[in-house]
Amino acid sequence: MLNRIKLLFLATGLLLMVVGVKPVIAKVKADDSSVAPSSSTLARGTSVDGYWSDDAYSWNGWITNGCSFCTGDPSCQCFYSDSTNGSGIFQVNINQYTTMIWSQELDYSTYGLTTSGSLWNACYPASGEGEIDDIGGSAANTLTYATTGQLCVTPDGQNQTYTGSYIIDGGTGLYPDYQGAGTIGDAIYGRLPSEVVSQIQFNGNIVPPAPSPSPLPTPSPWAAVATPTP
Amino acid sequence: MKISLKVVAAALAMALAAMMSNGQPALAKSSKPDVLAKAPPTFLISARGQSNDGIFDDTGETCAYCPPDSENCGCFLSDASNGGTGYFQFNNGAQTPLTWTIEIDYINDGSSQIPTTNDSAVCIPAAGVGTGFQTGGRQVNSFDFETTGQICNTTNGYTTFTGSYIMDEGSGNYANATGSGSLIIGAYGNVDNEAGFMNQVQFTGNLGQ
Repeated sequence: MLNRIKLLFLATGLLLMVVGVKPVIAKVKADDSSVAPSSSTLARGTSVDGYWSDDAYSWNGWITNGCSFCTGDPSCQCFYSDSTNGSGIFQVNINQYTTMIWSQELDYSTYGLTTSGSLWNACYPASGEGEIDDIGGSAANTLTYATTGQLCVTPDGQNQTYTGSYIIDGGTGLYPDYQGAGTIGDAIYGRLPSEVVSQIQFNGNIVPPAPSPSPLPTPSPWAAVATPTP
Repeated sequence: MKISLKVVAAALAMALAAMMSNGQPALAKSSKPDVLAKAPPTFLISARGQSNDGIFDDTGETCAYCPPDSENCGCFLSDASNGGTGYFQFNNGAQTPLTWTIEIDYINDGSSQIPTTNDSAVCIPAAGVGTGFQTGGRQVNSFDFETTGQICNTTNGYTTFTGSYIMDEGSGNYANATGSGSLIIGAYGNVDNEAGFMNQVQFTGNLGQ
């Protein structure tokens, strides 16, 4: 009798492992109008050949457009980094991590600098965009994102960190048109000249696209306030 | 004690299933990485702590990056002493005890203040340094970091710091540490508190060599 109970217990455990133990609420079949649950996302990477660029005046008076989001403004500069000869790790929930290829551009305005808290060092408002490609070794799996935040020189004056948030604005393969948001922390070792070592860390979430039309309201601070009709 | 052959068979089947599923939920979509990273690997780290006696020094006298007689420079000081706590987790391993210190400096003049939607609350760019001592194990491993971000008043009179960190150096296992990530501090007090107050710190990021 005891062995039968043990066998039943183990068989139940085996069944649970095969189907995956999920919260009860996860078994509720979603209808077309429901929003899929988001998954946590962790990604990190190293870059060994980052470099700084700007929109500088050249010898003939032309402005060299070195940064994607600078419009001929020499006070705008940028930092490029990618995983070439570096590394990239991508993980969804507690699944096995996979590799990724990544690249990022951060543009910042020296015009908008503020003191960083340590004298003579500055913080700059920054924004940019990036790509995460070849997720899991498959060229089909990609994500793109935009980011905004603040780039600051650290107290020792030699390094920089970027504190920002990201919003996923595109995806393919396993992540078609996925959405998501989270934080980005960049650590940039050293300053000019080039060949800058840097690291990137994403902490956030990812979710399939919401059904269309989106059930979420789109706030518009510039929209005129509707006047109630009597 | 007699063990049924059926029990043994069931246990073996369960172990086999666990190996085949790689210990993942059945919904796992990810594949095992088939491309090895070329650079030395980085590892996920998570650290958190609580301090019971965080304090602001708005005179700047004890702040590492405030010049003497500065009128607008101040700092927030916090550590795990006097009953504070700290935990450090490396690459999803077991949590180990951590002691830590953090200093966040800021210059509070009109030009550096960033207004918020609350008239009495502002954000200020801030930068600082800190050290963590991983006290578990046979040797003490330590890491030094720098951080930059924004320190802000909350609407209810508390303070938060939202920043990123960069690993500088360390000792023991982290002698050549590099890394980045987010550093968040929640302080249950503000610059007007003369006595120490509770605050919490959270690191989420990576660490490499």
